[in-house]
Amino acid sequence: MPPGGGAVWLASFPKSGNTWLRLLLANLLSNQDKPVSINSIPLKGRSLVRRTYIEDVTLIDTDLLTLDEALLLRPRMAAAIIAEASEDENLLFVKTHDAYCRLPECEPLLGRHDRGAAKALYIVRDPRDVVVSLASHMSYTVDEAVRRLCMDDHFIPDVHAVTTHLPQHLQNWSRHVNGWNDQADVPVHVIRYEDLRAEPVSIFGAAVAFLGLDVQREKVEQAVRFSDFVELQTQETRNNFRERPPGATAPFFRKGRVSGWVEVLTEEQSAQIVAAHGNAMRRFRYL
Amino acid sequence: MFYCRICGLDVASQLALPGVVEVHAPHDEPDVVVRYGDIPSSLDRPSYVGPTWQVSGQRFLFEVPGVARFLVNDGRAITIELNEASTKEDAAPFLLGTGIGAILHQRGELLLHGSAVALNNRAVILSGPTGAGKSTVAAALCKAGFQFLSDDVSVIRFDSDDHPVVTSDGRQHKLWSDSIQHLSLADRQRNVVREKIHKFYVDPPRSNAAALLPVVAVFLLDKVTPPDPPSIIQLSPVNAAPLLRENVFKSSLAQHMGRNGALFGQIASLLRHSAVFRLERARGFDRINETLETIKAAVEELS
Repeated sequence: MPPGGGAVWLASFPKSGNTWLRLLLANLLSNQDKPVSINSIPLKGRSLVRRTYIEDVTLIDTDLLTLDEALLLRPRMAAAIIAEASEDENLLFVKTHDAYCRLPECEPLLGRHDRGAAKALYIVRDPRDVVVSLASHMSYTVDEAVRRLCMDDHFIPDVHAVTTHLPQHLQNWSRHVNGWNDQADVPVHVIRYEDLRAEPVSIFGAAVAFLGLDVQREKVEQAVRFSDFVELQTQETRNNFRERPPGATAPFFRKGRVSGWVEVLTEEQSAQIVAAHGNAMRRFRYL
Repeated sequence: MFYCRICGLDVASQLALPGVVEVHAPHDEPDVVVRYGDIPSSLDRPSYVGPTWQVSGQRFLFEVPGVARFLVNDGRAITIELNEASTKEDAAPFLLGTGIGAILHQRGELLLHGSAVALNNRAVILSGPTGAGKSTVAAALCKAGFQFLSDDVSVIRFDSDDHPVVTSDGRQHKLWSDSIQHLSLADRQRNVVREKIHKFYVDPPRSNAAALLPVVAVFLLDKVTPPDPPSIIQLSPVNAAPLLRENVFKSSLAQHMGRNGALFGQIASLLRHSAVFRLERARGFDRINETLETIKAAVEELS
């Protein structure tokens, strides 16, 4: 990472702990003596997909773009963000749910850059728990959530919706986790959601060290305390959470449970996920 | 050549421009000529280089990756180079948006990202970022008796008494298919704006609006998630000026062309004669009639 600045892609399949990771980072970097607000996470960041920002930076009317053309803007946006980050003493964090793919002429999704101009934290979660979380977040039936984890052309938000953000192409769960972890363009540090839940201080501390930030144990411990699920749920109950979709059937910050799927999925649903994603699940020690 | 009038300019174009009303060839030289041609990969001594565009004085080079590149020169000429896999139909909407926007900035105009409609020969502009609902609210107002002037971009000029005026445009409405359905406009739906995109050109109701109408109000549209009734507040000129600057069409281009000072002067002139409201409305169509009533009442109260 260049002195001070640099871009950090915070990558994950949806409902894998990306928001929690951002809260941990914000609580670490905010230097406050109280938890940051979930509704204004003070993490210096940019977006690869927010339409108003992209239109301001590229001058392109994004509602006129096809899905493929919109994807072609990712490396351009990434380059603009990396250029901005290189002039900043702070890290610039960029959340993304895009699957890592190659564009025409083999251009990497987020472009080619000097080694160290950008790094990625990739957070992965047991797909059976992802299904349970996705179903309540998006008001899907569990069967629908299972189907979506297996779809190759899975986009969020839905392609035909008029939205504030460009659709992100998730591909399917296996391709998502393998794509980010097999690419050699960006140094990536993998965080298993389950490990982060079990040993947050050491696992988050390792991620902080990967980013080249100073790891002070008491600050990491404080960030973990301020990002505790009870704290997040209390804030959501009191003030709502603006990233929660209007139709969601449950709070955004649910229990954050590990292996909660055991009580929700039928044997058939669970078997369906294993049949589709067994290899990738074994790779990340879920089987 | 395809001839048309856009934002008060006579345009002659080598490619037919969908969604624009074709007119007879003008007697005089056209204001703007659009041609195919080769375009350099970069400009000499650019003052700004962005991810898809660069500026050098009165020259603007712009690329839509996978579609086309455009060179806009001195407020008078646009050159287009199509990507191998693209068609002129693919390139035309970007030419009409960013390309014409750059022409107008090069001509020193004040252009707001907004649709213009008129009631009793007085124009109002509905402004806001992409997705704010400008075109949809404008189309709904036209169903409710307003006249259509322009879609998505409104050029504000100043008459001899320095009053702000807006001109009716030669372009059709562009609406998403769900807006067309909810506003029952299927009978006026025309071609799709682009293949694979669910946005369509829609004929505006027959307009008998005068060529130039005074601008009496600008509504800055904002969407809120809970289905609350629309809320409206009138902004003081001090509060309105920076928000209008943000809503200048292709605002960052204007900034990198060095237009900030000129634009603030033009915005100050606009604010001497026009009210500015911030209008928050619920997403979707459930409460659109209340939005229309709110706008109508605000306009009528200005008289």
